Amino acid sequence: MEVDKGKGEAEETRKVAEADRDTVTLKSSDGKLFEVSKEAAARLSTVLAGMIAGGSIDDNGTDLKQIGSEALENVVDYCNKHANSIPSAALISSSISFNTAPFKEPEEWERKFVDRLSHDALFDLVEAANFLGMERLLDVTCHKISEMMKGKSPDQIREVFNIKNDYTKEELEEIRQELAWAFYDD
Amino acid sequence: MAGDDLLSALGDDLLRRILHFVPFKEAAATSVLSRRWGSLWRSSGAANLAARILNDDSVKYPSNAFFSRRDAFARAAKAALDAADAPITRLTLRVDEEPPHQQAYRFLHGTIDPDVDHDVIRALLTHRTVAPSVEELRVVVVAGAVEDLSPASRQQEPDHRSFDHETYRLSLVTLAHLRVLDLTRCTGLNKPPSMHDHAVFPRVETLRLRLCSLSTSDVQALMDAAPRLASRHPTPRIDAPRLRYFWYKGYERYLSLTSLAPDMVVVDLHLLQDLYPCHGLNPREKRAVFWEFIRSFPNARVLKLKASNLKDIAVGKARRGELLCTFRNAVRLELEGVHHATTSKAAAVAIANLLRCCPALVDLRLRLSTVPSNSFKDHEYRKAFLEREKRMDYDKSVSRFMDRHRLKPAVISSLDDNDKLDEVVTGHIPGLSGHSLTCLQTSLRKVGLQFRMDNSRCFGIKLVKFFTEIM
Repeated sequence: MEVDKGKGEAEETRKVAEADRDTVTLKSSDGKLFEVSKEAAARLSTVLAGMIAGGSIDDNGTDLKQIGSEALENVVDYCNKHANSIPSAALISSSISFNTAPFKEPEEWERKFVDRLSHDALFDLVEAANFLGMERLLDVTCHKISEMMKGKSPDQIREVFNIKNDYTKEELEEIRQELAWAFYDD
Repeated sequence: MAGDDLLSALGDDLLRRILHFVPFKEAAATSVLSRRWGSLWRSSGAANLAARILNDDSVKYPSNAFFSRRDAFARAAKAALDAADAPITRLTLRVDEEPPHQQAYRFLHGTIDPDVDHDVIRALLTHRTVAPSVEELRVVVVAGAVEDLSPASRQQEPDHRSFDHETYRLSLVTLAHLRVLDLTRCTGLNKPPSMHDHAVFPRVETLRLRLCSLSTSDVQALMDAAPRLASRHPTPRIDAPRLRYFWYKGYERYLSLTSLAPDMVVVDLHLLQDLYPCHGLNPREKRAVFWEFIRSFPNARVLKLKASNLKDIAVGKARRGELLCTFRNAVRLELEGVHHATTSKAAAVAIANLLRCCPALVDLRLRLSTVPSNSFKDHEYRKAFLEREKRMDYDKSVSRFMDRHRLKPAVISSLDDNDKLDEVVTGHIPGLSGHSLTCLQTSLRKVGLQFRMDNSRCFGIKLVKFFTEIM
């Protein structure tokens, strides 16, 4: 439903915010302000939950100096989409919070959400999710990265992620010998 | 693409988290990427074991090639577990089989000698890096092309019928730290010889059964193996879209079907008296559990319900909207239960509740017995008493059948109590009378009542009167 991202949605969020004031304002490292549903933020981020509970939320924008505006926009976007998406029955009836819930496959909208990210944006989002203690978003982003690795040879993985091979030929051969089972295709 | 190595720049914990999702061979192969990756995979704490049964000549029976491939997989899986230098907390075994050959069972349990059994799964579960530490266990058998089991894709799955074969049996071995047990297409359990009072999964709080075909005794064994499932928070889920007959005998538990069973025919539910009521649910919770339980079967045609105490299912006006549901296809309801000897209000409410839920009911059978209130002290005694009392009740009980086509009710009973029946003054029953119940006015044609004749004012006789008057 909410496929379009960007300003339209940000404005939408602001409107909702004015309606019931149930939001918090977050400030990125480059000074941009973002508003996010307080409920979703507290539910999805252990760090934000702690700040909300501890009263360290600044009405003029809580400083998140470690997170750039692009990553923070994605974080906020994710929270809002999460708040809007209809949670599966399992999540409604379960008292287990998102942060301790066993891993579930990303849902369709979560896949789309990470699929549209650039390589750089994806990694920035992983760092942001990690910083904010957003377990579900971490799982979704890490799962996406794992899918970029799956079915690829080590050479192909190095190419996709710009990994520099710093082994000697002999060392490589030694590892391959030791882990023959992993390289042997049945 | 020239640029920085953003991946390797992530912290160890994040790289391990990514490796959580990578199949085991590919995870091990990351060793060769760079020194940064080296042994990282060994400490990810996860093992995603994956096997694909190729649809080629080797699946033909009997075949050395088939089993040598299987053994190669088992060796590689063992090597991966051996290599772990942190305890494995998440273990996944995924077997892809390509239709039309359905070889998962042979792959996981067979040997070249048809008389000798093998258990690949058990060997993995009892591995030294798994058994003491594993917290999440997933075992999945997948048909060839299906990529994942997310709800969206599952609905597009081509043909459930291709899974009418045996796939694997899970051995109940002790996994002291297991919290999550997630089984897809499991077709049986291997129970240890003496499972009594032995919780092999003492910490399991989440049980997911997807497309499994387990006998109810297997489901019960799983519940017994995982006693925490009985506590109120986690809900065991059963995903059985083609379920037609559901039989459950046990304590009240949260249990729900994740997909509705459209062809449901019979639900047979026998709720036992909790031996340790102090550990169990309070009456309010019991009611919620019962109604949530049967709510899972909205399409059932026949409901057979046995409750040790009808009070546990009776829902007052306040919670009716919240708890009751509709069984629009239900044509037959059999209710058996015990009610308080002196007050029958709760039993009447329970009957009214169920009649309200079954607007198309044709055939109603009630078997009622009573228990005196002073026997509620000792639980062991009470249980023995209940068993005895019930038998006695039915030996001495009065059966009464009423048919809409007949004008007068006929007593079908060895006991000749016709005289006493005439003594009943009124058929008014608090909790039942005065409610507008669709089925009473339209569909209900047959009522069978069985109860113990305590005195002429007993609940059973009132019921006879009640149904005689309305029918």
